[in-house]
Amino acid sequence: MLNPLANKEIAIIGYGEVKNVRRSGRSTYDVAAEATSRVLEYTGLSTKDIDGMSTVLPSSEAGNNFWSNYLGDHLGLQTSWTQTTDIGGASMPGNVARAAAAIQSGYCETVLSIAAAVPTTRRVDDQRSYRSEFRNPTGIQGPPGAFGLIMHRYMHEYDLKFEALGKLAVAQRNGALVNDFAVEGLRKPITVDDYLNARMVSTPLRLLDSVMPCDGGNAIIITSTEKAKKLGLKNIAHPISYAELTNFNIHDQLPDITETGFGVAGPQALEKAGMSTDDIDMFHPYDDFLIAEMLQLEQIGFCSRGEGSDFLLSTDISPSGTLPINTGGGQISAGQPGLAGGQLNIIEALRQLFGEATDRQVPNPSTAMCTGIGVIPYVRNWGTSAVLILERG
Amino acid sequence: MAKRDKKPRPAPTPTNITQPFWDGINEHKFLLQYDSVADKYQFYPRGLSVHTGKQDLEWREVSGKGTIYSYTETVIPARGFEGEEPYMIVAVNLEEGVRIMSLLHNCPNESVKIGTPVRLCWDKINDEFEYFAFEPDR
Repeated sequence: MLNPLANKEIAIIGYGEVKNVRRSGRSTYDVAAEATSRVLEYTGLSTKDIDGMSTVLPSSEAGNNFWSNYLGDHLGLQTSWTQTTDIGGASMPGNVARAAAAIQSGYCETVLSIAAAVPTTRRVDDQRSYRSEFRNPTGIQGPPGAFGLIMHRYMHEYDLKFEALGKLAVAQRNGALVNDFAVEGLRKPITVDDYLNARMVSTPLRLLDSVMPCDGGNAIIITSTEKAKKLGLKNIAHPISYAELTNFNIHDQLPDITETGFGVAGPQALEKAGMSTDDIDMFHPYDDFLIAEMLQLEQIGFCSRGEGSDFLLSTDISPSGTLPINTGGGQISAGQPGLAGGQLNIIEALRQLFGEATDRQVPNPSTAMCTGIGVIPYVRNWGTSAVLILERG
Repeated sequence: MAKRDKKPRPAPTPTNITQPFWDGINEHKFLLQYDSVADKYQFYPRGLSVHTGKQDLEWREVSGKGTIYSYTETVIPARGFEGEEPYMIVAVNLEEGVRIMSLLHNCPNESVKIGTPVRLCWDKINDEFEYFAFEPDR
């Protein structure tokens, strides 16, 4: 299988993160500026060293059809390759592959991949098509409602053990407790009973199954491995494989809503890397809802379909365990800064691969799998499934 | 705690693609797009057939009968549904081979099961707009 990332000629050389805050009152540009400043400081680069930029269109700026131009201008970037990706929570892992392709094609050499969103301060998105006509007027509670439908169908087909989801909720919360960038209001310990007794939002989905929206942002710098070596940088992670699938099964008008594009993209990403799930040292899945993580575990192949509950119950998913999952709290316990949340798991994976995760450090990891999920379609599963595998350089 | 103000229930804004569908709903007819080449229906209405990519779709009136594929009881209401919680949303597989989502009426929430036969019913949003919902097909 063709894999342009196989020869490790692309390197991620640093990260910058802004603390997640609810109703920060900040501008999207201010958050982006802080994330940019932090990643430049981390790598020792200046804005003049950046000649490419990739980003995601956040709901706080969605009315601006020149978002890339405004953002690059604000940040003081002169770029020969500029890209806004709008496949939701899959945009930022998707941008790693897009930036790599642009670097390999010679369009640019050093890319700032930046995500910033302040949805709890400002939201100007306006989604038409099926959403305004066939979703909102029904009264379904947005994404929690859609995942409520997925969970009930899963329970009809398979055995869903809520204590397994509770274990995942607790493990991620433990990560948020030691993550200074997590939303402060979420940095309180929880128990499996707290999860089981949490208020229902849209049955059988509970409040503690769900992300909490907040404002925040983050950035990474992607360049050629050659350039990274020239710069003498010590902390390098190579993206070694990527697979993405949008509108899985779109021709089927009665699709199985428990089946997702990860059943294709997961095995593809592993095959491209020449790996099996045993070679993945840590899993940093996109987590809008806990059930989404269980579906990914099953469909990427960490366990069989329907066995996600038993897998979670029998696996140590803590930082010192056999498969650490979302060690920084994930979006569910650290907060979801809108679509900028789609890069938080990459930031956490880099922090771990670079040995900088302090109290939650995974012992000597060399590989990480990060994923992205984009959009809730009309009574289907989710729109985009993306899988990125990173390896320490 | 102060009771939240009820906002207006969101009404669809028809486009040139969906206008025939909403005209049908307002006349209590349930119309689906049908692709005669593929011999298949589709929902939601689109500008072309997802089966063949061709634009020669026809609108056909259908039974509105189907079975519950999945359900979720909404406990925290969506905008415009304040005070109506808990209410039931169902995903229904229609006999014509498409899946549709809406409210379930005339059925106690605790008796909802996957596989239950349902049929389409009407659900007035406001003086101008009719919407569709489901009820048990007894």
